[in-house]
Amino acid sequence: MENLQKQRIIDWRWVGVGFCLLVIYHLLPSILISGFLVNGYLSLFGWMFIGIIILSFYFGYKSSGVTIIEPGIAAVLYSLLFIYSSKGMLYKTMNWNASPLLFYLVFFGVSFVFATLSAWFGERLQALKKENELKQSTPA
Amino acid sequence: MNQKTDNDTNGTKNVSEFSPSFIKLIIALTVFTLVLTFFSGKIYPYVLDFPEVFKGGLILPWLGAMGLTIIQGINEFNGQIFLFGTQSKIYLLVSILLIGIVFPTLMMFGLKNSSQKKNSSSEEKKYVFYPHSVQVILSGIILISIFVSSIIHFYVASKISENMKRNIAIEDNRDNIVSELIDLSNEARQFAILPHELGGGNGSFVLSSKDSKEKKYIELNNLKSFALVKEANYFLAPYKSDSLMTIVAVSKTRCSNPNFSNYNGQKGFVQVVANISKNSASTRVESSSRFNNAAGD
Repeated sequence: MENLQKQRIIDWRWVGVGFCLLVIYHLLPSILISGFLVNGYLSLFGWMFIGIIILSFYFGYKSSGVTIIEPGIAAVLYSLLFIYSSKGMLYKTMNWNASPLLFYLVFFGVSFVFATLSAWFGERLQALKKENELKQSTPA
Repeated sequence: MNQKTDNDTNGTKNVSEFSPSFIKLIIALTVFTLVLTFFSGKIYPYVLDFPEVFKGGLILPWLGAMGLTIIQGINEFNGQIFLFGTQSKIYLLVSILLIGIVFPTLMMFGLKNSSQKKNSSSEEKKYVFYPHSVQVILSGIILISIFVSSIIHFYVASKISENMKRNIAIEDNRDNIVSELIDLSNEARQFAILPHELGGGNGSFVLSSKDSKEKKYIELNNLKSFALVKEANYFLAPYKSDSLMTIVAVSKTRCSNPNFSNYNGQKGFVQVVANISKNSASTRVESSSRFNNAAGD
């Protein structure tokens, strides 16, 4: 019972590390190569989704345990940083007719889904790799 | 059950995948990135009010420095005093520091620590994430970015140079055609002015013919300088009259606007049209919107 209480569904350390790694591996190089990114907010956010997908896959693959929800939450936090920084320009560019709140919910939802899906693929690849290693190490 | 937070044998202590120095490094780098990001309040420098010469990003400081030098040279040539703004200086300094010092140092330390970690015993490899992984990956990303952006710059620069040479060649070709056409026009006007007795048209572009009753208009072969032309193919327009003569010149080399259709149906060739009367002559360059009606006499 005590052990069950100590179990955590979400590992918040991974959420924090995921967010930091998104900032370091994606935002920092993006700042440095900014001139080569395609102009316009839509392509900017496309670039953001590409970064989220690749890095979430990396988190899922590299983590020693099952890390699927954590990259999703980190991606939502990272999207929040983007939304805050762009001063709502994406919302204006896309001519969204519904409420801004719904737009942001959809945006965070898409980020979350992309991140969790790619993290899941990363976990699958990790599991396949471990299975292969196990097969090779086990004598026939 | 989350495997990452499994308890150890005592059931009290969590096993972490991250080494303490890894955590310290990523926090430091995140804070640095966020400070850099919010330096001017928005997320990407090209969205920010970046100095124009740094639109290529901070990754290639030599481009920014070159841009500033060129701007300074042009301004001094124009007699203006140009001083680098503080913002430009800061961006240049940050760019040089990052590309020349910070990332190479990170890379070296990362590679050194990585090789040390490989040689260490398995007991010392208790974490999954070490700081050297961040150092190597980040520096690798930056190096690849420099390489890719340099290739892009090289490609763009070579294309610009090629286009400039091509434009100069087109302008030269156009000027030569106009010059030849002006010579032909002048000779045609001389013909129109001279009386029949002196071999002219006596106020028109009609050849004198005592034998034939049919009117014979002047041909290009009748103009002496026609033998000297070489830059273009010359035609007489089909509509002919006593008082007006139209010569069309189409360049021999393909250049200029490929969508423009010439008098003879060819595409992409410079075409110059000369309308000549006894009293005046005018030339009109076609096929390039930039040079339309550029020349006249």
